[in-house]
Amino acid sequence: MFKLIDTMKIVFGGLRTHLSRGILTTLGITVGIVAVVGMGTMAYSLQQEINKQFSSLGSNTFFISRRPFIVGIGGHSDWRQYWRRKNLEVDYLPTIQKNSPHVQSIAPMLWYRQNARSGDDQLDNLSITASNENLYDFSSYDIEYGRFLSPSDILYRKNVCVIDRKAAGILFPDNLIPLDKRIKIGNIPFKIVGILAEQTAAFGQEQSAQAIVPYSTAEKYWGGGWGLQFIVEALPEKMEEAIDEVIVALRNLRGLRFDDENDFELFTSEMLMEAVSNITRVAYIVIIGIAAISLLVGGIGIMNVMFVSVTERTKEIGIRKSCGAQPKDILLQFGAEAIVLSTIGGIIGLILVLSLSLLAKKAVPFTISIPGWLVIVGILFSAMVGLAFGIFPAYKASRKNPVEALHYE
Amino acid sequence: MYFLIESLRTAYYSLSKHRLRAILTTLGIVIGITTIITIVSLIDGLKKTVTGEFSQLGTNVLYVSKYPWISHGKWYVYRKRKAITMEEVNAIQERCPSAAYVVPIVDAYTEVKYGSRKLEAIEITGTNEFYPQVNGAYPEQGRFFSASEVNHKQRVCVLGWGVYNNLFDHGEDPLGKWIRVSGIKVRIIGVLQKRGSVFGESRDNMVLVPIDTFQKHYGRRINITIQVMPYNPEQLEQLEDETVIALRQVRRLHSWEEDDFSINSQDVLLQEFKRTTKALFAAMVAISALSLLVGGIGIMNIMLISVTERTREIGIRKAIGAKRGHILLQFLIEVLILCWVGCLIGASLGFGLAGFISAVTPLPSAISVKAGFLGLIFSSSVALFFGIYPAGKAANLNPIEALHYE
Repeated sequence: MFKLIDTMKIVFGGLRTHLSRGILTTLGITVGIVAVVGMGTMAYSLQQEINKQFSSLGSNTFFISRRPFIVGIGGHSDWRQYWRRKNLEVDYLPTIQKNSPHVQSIAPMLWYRQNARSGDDQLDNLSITASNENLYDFSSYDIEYGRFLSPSDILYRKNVCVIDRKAAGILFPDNLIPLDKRIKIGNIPFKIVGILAEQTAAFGQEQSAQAIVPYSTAEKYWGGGWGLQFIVEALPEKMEEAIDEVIVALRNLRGLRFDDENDFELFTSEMLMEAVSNITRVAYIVIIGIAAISLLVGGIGIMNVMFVSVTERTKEIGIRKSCGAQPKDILLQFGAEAIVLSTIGGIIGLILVLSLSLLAKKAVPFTISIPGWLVIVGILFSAMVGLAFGIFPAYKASRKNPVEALHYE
Repeated sequence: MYFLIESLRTAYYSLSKHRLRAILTTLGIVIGITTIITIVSLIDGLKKTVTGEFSQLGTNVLYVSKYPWISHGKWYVYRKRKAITMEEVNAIQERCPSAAYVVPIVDAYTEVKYGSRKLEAIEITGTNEFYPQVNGAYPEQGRFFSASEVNHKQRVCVLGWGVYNNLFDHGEDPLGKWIRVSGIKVRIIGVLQKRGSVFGESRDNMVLVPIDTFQKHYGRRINITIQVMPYNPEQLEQLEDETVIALRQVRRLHSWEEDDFSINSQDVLLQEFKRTTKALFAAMVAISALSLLVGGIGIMNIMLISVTERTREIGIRKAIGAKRGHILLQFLIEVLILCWVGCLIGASLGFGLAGFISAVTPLPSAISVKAGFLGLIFSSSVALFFGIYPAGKAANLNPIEALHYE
């Protein structure tokens, strides 16, 4: 212990006498760590953002559609085969519900985009989800005022809609609770029966205003039954059972023989997340890899300066050795110097990244968070660089012959 | 001149005295330049490949269609537009004086049968007699269909090279044979030469039939894409204006209404590609430049050390008459040599690495002189930027103090 303190004293003494040299060496590592940790932070934050958006769909929720979510990533030659598949039918729902004891809730979903209008207030690109009353069971929907869609709305194809706070604010700037008011969605009159609470809505719909209408009404006016999807919520912890049951029910409904392949696609929010992450991951790895090269160059700078330092202090090494210092002690002295240099660089780099991320917080639309492990990895990594590039000069110093070293001029 | 040679000699001497130091300093620059050049080469290669793919669409062809090629996800806005029909094709033919060729194109995917052989999902394209001129696809065997065959709805077809190969045995003469295209019998009058693929989509898996024949069986209301080609490339913009006017007339748009059709060209795609990738590429080059920055800091560090070590030498040189400029030049030349050597090695490594990467992976690369020059200029400016301070420090030393230095 005493030895370590002693070594540290020598190290800092050595660094202080060559302050500008120390600063410049450190600067190299700082730039490298800023690049690596900065890029890592950005990748991590973006990934968190994607995860957040997907997990708002619910972890025991899955989707069924006629076509895969992402076509053409693997090779887009076969997208045509999906077009031939039969549409999903809303009539399937009671049968699926009856035959799948582990399914908590199932709702149809259709998406549209229309312009909406109330008097002179215009809202472009209202994103519309057409569904039935069951959609309310899904965690992301919460009613603030009024009611959700009712079974009779669906049955009688009523022109009613539930809108969110954002849409309400744009269409009725003066009226906080525009219940029972009429709006026009794509020139068709709809009555507002409910207003959704402020929420972290389903993926991608956070930014745009949205409305929920009965699917039967929507299909009547806008068609598009080919895009029908089902959203299914399984009982807690019963995801796999529910998936199996739904697949069996659907295969029966669509009259598939045992050797036919499924003619529908089923995906969970995790699978969606996976698909998106796979694309972004490669980009992150490449960019972080390139950033790490600057750390390598910084390491080479450390090695260079350590060699100079060892040469300059040959006489000192000779004196220390002749007074009884073991090679181990010399190795420790120079090794510690390199590690201290690079670790200081790493810490300064981390502080820079931290302050940069605080600055950037206002500029970017997502939350930037530096994960704790990245900080620790950053410090460890910089120390490792110091060790890796400092060990050779230190070893060379420790092997010096004391007699020759004392002679050195 | 003599003075320059003397400086070079001094620089060389001092570098060779500290060989390890020089190598390590250079290594930093080498790695930085290698990274930059590799990245720039790969990016250039990618750009060149994509540009090449786009130009397959024809550099001076306009594509009139219902949907714009770049719709930013807003295709639903354009879905309601009226389909483009033969009426528009005729209008462009009649009213656009700079249009050399007007080619309607309409697609469907069906099965093709010949005897017992059957191919699934083949692209059936209805078009007219000018298709070869605009698309650069000429028949290898037989001939393309004529104007009168188009006008008289003749049941003739021209096969793509891939369809011919899959449907017939090697060397079998396809001309005059009848095939069934979704149940309708058509006679083969020609086979196109091999055309390869664009964006991974093969362009040989198609059967071309006269557009009126196509419409007779599939209906007249399927949306058409119209290719329009001017007499010479300079007329492209004029042609675009003429086409817009002709289409607005035939589609009866009022003066205040917006166009309900889109005129696309490969240029649009190219611009979009550049726009979306610009930020990523810039980020990659900037991050790889960081390592050069770190290398530059390394140079500055070593030069400062070297100046300190040689304080006495500087003192002596000044005492026997060296001017500030001499000292400055001596150290600057030392830095520049380090950098240029680093740059040279780095450039060859970088080009080698880029070549290697494109050989073992599907990534293309292009050796660009631009990248080389960029590296040279970049490293020289790094050297000058980081070398000028130590060199200036050396040049400004007071000779009396410098001689005293121990």
